Amino acid sequence: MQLDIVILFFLLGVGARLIKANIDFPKGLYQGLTLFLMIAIGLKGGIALAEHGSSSLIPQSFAVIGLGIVLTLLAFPVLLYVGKLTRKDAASIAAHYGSVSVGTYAVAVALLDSQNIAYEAYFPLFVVLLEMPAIMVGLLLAKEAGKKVDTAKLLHEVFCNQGIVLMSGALLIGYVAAEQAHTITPLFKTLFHGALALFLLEMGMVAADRLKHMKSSGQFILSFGIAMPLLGGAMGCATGHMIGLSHGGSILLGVLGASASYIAVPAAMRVAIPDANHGMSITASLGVTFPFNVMVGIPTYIAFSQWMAA
Amino acid sequence: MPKSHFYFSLFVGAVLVILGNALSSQDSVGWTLVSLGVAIPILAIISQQFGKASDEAQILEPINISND
Repeated sequence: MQLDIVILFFLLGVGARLIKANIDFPKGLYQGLTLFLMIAIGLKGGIALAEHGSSSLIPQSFAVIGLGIVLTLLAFPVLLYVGKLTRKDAASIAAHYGSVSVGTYAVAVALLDSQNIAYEAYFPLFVVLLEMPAIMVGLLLAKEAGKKVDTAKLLHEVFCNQGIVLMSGALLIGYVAAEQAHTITPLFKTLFHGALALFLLEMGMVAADRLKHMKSSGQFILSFGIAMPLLGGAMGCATGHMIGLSHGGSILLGVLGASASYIAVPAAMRVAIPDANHGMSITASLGVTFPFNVMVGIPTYIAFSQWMAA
Repeated sequence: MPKSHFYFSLFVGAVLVILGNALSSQDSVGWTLVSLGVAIPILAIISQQFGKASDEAQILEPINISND
């Protein structure tokens, strides 16, 4: 297995943390890279949407939203009854796994590009669509917990979080101003892989830090954090084939189904379910599922999609 | 560790071994999955043994105090 160059930077981050190397990655740079990746992905999708947009996108979009809802509903009973977590914790973690990780998506796109596997270029639209339904379902599942929620604040967090605003905004800009896009593509297209490598260096260090918390979160989170992406990946690939996406598109939908949010959902859950164990959610999504997807999961979903297409 | 966690770990381990075995012909991803599938149940067994040990220690502690 030839590891992609950006994944090697992730391993460098993990290794640096494990040997306790003193790498001071500026917090502002990490946030800047996150914003950069979101805008770059949204812009690319918007330009593609202007070029290839069609009415078939409407049923595909509904199927993608349905996938997000089903994944959240599947994760919840496992967390509640097998994991013996509280209702609030189960709902919060289920929402993380029903939503998507932009970082994982960016790695998958880089991997497909390097292997020359074609995919639907308007895919960022699906990334934006998959961000929201899981949060909604997660909140409904947690509702019996009884605490009053500031609905206005919550809705603001769901629809106006930085991921949704930047990606849908960039998508819209790319769609409306596709003809002028060449003026900014040197920044957002040419530098994409370099920025992703820096982002993954930091993510490697964060993931290694999170692994220390595994001691307190336990064996179940490790098993769940690996099993759930495999289930989501298989369901995503199957959905992709069912709605007529290409081989590459099905792989990407598998990756979206498999990934767990660590930016948008944690922020929304902190507002909606403040007394849930947010450390456990982040440990599962960032400490277990993200590294699993980046190292093993994405090639597995490529194999899933090949098997389904055969 | 609750029994459900232990059995869930065994189940996930078995799924990973089967899946890894199915993918082993393609590249080393299959073998990585098999390794994970073996490691997870082993970790679960170790955790359960440690859990038992700490449970026993907690049960024995009051008896020792009462004997004193």
